[in-house]
Amino acid sequence: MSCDRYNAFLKGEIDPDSMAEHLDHCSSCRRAKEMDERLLELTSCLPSPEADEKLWYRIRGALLQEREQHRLRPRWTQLAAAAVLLLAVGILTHPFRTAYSQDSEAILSGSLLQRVEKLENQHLKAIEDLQGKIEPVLNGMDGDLARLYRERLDVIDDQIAECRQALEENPQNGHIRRYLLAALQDKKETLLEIRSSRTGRG
Amino acid sequence: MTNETTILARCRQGDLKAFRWIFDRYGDSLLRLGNRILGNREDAEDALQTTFIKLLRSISAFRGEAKFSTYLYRVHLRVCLDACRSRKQAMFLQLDGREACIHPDYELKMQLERAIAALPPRQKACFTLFAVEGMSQKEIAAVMNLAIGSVKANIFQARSKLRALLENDEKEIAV
Repeated sequence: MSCDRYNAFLKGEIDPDSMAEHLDHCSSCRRAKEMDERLLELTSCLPSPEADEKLWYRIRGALLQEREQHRLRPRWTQLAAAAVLLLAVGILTHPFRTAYSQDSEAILSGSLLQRVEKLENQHLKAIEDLQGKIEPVLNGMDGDLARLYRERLDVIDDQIAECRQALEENPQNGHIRRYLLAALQDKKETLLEIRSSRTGRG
Repeated sequence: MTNETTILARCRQGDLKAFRWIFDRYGDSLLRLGNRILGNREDAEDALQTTFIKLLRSISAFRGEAKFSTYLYRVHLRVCLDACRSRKQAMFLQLDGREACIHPDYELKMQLERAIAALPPRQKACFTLFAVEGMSQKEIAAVMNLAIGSVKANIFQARSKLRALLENDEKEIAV
């Protein structure tokens, strides 16, 4: 005859000690317990997919796209104070953007690729120059604020490095170049924010 | 970069290396869970991608009231159950061909896969978190936002149905 006490135990209606005692003299419940253990054993070794590199790169691409679309924009309340530098970097940025607008497709090739690479390098150089000028400002800044800015710049530098690494493998990919451009823009804006924060304090 | 608080701070800044850390730590488990609930790898991968996008969007709002893993599983389960609801049909898993050659329990495992896939979504999720991911009933209650009694009931119902499958299998062998 079938006994239902093992089911009652699984529902939490019987405490483990009472159940153990019951199992000593109830073959029906022992059988149910064996089946239950077999079920858990079989379930735990069912074939399962693994989250591999291919999946990560797919997710990473989606995250990059999402981050680009919803990029957090800092509050630029003192942008005017850095107008000269903005103009200097902006002049270099302009033809770079124009090159993109002429070919909005994902694949860049030939002379257009060379032009974009040249402008990217100029853009990078301009930002490095700007960073050199900002460094003394950061050094003289309040510790916590400077740390936050440095962390943010580190994150952006990582993004730039990742993009450049990806471009070494796939230089014609216009999407990656757009991510790089966005990261460069972000860095420029962050540097200008740092500069304007000093100007703001007078 | 191993401290979870640091990781979350970097996630809030959009640092993809921090998301990679989460992927390395939880990816297999989340994919497994999605695979059990949705019944196939492709949908499970889509769900995992959606979960990461939702995480990127919502990580700023996570204030640490719950454990991060609880929060992450909760987001992922919602994505999976939503996908499940939108399909409104049970999906069946296909086992890897190699597995069929080397495992003596192949037929039974295939039946078990189908039986798990046919469970109602909530039972499936509770049972998978319990039996595959090894979560306690308390943790499952937190992840699924259910009372612990409800978690117990869902696991019990799933176990009863699946155990009946094994019992029938044994009876067939005995005949």
